[in-house]
Amino acid sequence: MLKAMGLDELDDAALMSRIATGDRLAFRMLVGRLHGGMVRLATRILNDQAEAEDAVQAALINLWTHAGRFEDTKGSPAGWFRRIVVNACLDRRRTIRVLAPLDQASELPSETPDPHEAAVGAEQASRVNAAVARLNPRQRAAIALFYGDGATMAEIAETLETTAKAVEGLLARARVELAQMLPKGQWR
Amino acid sequence: MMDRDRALEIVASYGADALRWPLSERQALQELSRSDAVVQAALAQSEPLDAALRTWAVQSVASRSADAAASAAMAAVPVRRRWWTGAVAGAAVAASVALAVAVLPPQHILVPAPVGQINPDPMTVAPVQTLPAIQQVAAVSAQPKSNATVGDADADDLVFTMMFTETPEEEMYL
Repeated sequence: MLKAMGLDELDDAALMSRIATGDRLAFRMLVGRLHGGMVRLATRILNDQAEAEDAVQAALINLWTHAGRFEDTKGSPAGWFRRIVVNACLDRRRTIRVLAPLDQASELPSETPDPHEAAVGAEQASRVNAAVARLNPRQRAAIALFYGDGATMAEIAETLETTAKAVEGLLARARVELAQMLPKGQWR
Repeated sequence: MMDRDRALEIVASYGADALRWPLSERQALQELSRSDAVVQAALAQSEPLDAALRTWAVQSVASRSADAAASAAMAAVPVRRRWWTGAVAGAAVAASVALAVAVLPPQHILVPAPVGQINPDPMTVAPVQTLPAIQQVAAVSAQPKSNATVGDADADDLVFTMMFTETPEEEMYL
């Protein structure tokens, strides 16, 4: 239906203009474009999918309510929404938790049915997950944006409301801590 | 200008994957890394962590449908941006009624005919009466029924019979 109405041909900024007037179909179209990526980003930051879904939902309500505040001269709707999502995640920093202690992460059973390689991969993923979960929230957000979303320093800086140089510092410290938590033998 | 310190800074932040390095410094760093053993060591040291983070980043996350999320967000704010339109419309109607009552004399205030009064022409709207006319009807109906009012009741019965009893022509179709 959205396609039939030609909404799929509108860019994100045009959809935002419509959302600001209360256009529900435009909102559905934009959410369709952004939702999956934002849930993945929030899950990487919060290390908890249920919390991530809640954070994205809160961000969507914010987007629907405050679309009129978006200014396309200051960036893309995706960037604006990403900032709302990351802020929603950082607001939940008290709920950010390590799902399993790092030393037990390698003992987690794999959810993938048997193949040895999948089990090894899942094991490694859970170790990295546990290590990333121990970073401070801003470091984790920077890592999630850089490795998960492929965001540039400028984009991460805009999202975290800081400078590109500060983001470089966040990433460097995060990598040092990860390297300490994940001795070489554990990630290969 | 790329020097070893800046090269090590970049590797520490961005890792060993050249595609992630800042575009403006990429070529200079690649050239330096060919000849600088310290930079080469830093790159080699960084690669395992890069690989681990790449694996971590591509983990799939199954989420609820975007459409359901959009519906839930809109349902959470059902009267967004429109609450004031209803309030303004309500206030306007109330103000109009108040103005009409205050300014117009009673005989100009139109009231629909009482329920039960037969409208002779179904193509027109029910007759509208003024307040004095209604007051008159109310006064009449408050009086005890006389012969005249019984006669009125018979006339009503006749109208009812004419409306709900089939004519011989109508009966042919039944």
